[in-house]
Amino acid sequence: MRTSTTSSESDTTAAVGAGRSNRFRWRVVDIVVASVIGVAAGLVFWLWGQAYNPLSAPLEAALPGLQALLGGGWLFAGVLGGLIIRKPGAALFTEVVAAVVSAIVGTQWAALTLVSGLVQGLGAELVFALFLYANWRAYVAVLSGMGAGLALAINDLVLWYPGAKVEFAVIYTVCSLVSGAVLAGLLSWLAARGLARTGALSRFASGREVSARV
Amino acid sequence: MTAASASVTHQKADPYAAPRDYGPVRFLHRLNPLSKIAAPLPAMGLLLFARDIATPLLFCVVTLLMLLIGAHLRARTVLLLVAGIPLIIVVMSVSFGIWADPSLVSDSPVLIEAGPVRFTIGAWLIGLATALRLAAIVLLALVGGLTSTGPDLVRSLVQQLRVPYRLGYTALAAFRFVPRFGHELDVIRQAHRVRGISDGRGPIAAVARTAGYVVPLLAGAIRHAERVALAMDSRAFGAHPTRTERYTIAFRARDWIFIAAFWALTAVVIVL
Repeated sequence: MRTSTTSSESDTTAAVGAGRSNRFRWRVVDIVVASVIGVAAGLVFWLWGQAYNPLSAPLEAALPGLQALLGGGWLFAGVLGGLIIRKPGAALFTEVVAAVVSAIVGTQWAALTLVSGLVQGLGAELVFALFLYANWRAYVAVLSGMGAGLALAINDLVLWYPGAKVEFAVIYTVCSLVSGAVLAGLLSWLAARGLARTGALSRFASGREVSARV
Repeated sequence: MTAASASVTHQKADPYAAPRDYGPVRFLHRLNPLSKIAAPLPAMGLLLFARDIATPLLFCVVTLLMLLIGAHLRARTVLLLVAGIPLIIVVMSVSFGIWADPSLVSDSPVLIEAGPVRFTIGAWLIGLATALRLAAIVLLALVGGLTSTGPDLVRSLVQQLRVPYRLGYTALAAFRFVPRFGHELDVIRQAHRVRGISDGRGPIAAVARTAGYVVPLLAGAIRHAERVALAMDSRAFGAHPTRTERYTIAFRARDWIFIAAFWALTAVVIVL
C-alpha cells in the first residue's frame, strides 16, 4: 500500500511537469475525495432539511431570527472540505457539490439551494484564502465557519426576508455567525481531526500532520 | 417481449445515455443544457431585486407555459406544477407577510387582528411578492432542471465552457457513491450492534448515536475514494490536457435563438 501510494503520487507529479507550483495543484485523489465529501455532506444537508421545520418552529416562536442557529448544518461541507484537501477552491467546490446533491435528492428549497451553496462556499473559501491557504488551525476553521455564516445571513436576508425589521436582521446575522462558528467551524475541525486519527487521510497533508505528531 | 421491455427500463435507468428526443414540439429537450441555464439567468438576477408583484407573476406564467408545451413531463410533475406551486405561493405569502416590517404598511386595512398581532393587506402583499419571486426563480431553474440530465450538463460544461474535465467527470463519478453510503451505513450499524454498543433510548441518545456514525462513515468513504483515485490514476485519467468523449453535446443556432429570445423578453420587462 505504502509503495503504490508513493509511486502514483510521483506519476502525477511527473505528469504535471516542472514549471508549476505543486502545493496548489489538485491531484486526482484531491478531486475524488473532495467530491465524495461533497456528496456525503449533501446527504447530511438533505437530512438536516427534513429535521429543520420541526426544530426551527419553536426557535422562531421564541424569538424571530433565532432559527438561524440551525443554519450551520448547511455550512460544514465547505469548511470540512477545505480542512481536509487544503487546496485553493476546495471549500467552494465541496460546498457546491453538496448543494447540488441535496438539490437533486430534493429539498423544500429546490434550486435555490444552489445559490446558497455557491454563496456559503465563497464565504468559507475567502477566510482560508485570507490565511493564504497556509493556516489550518482550529481558530481558522472557526473563522471560516463564521465567514460561511455571514454569507448565509446576507443571502437569506436578501432572498428570503426582504423588508424585514432591523432587529430581525441583527438577530439573524448574529445567530448564523454563532451557528457557523460552532456547527460548521468547530465541529468540522473535530471531524477532520477524528478522520486524520483513523489514518484515512494518509495521502493528505492534513492526515500526515496528525499521524506524525502521535 | 421481456427482453425488449427489460432493455427499455435499462435505458431509462442509465443516466449516462445520450439525451432522448421527444419531437419538435417538446423543443426544450433539443436544446443544449447550458443554453437552458444561460437564457433565464438575467431574469433570475432581475427577480432577486424585484419588489413588485407583476414582474414575478409574468415570469411565473411564461415559464409555466413554456414548460407545459416544451417539456415531456410525467402526469405527477404536471399536477405539481399546475396545482402545487400556486398552493405553495399562497401558503408562503402568508408566512412571509407575518415577518414584513409593519411600519412599511401601517396605513393599509387590517385583515386579521389577534391580540398584538395585526395582519394587514399591505403585509400580505409584501409576502405575496416574495413568494411569487421565489416561485418564479424556481420555475426558471426547472426549465433546465426538468429537461436535461446531470451527466449531460457536466458534458456540456466540459465541452463548451471548457471546465477542466478532471473536475467535471470526477464529480460525476462521485455521484455514483450515493448508494454506497447506504451500504456503508448498514455495515457500521451492524458492527456497532455486534459489539453491543448501546446509548440508551430517546431523542438525545439517537442524536449521539447518529453523531457516532459520522467519522467512520466519512473514513470509509474517503478510503473508497482513494481506491477510486488510484484506479483512475492507473488508467492515466487526467494525464493529457484533452480527452475523447463518449458522445458530443452540440451547441447549435437554435440555442443562440432561445437565449436571445429569452433575454429580449427580460429586457422588455426591465424597460416596462
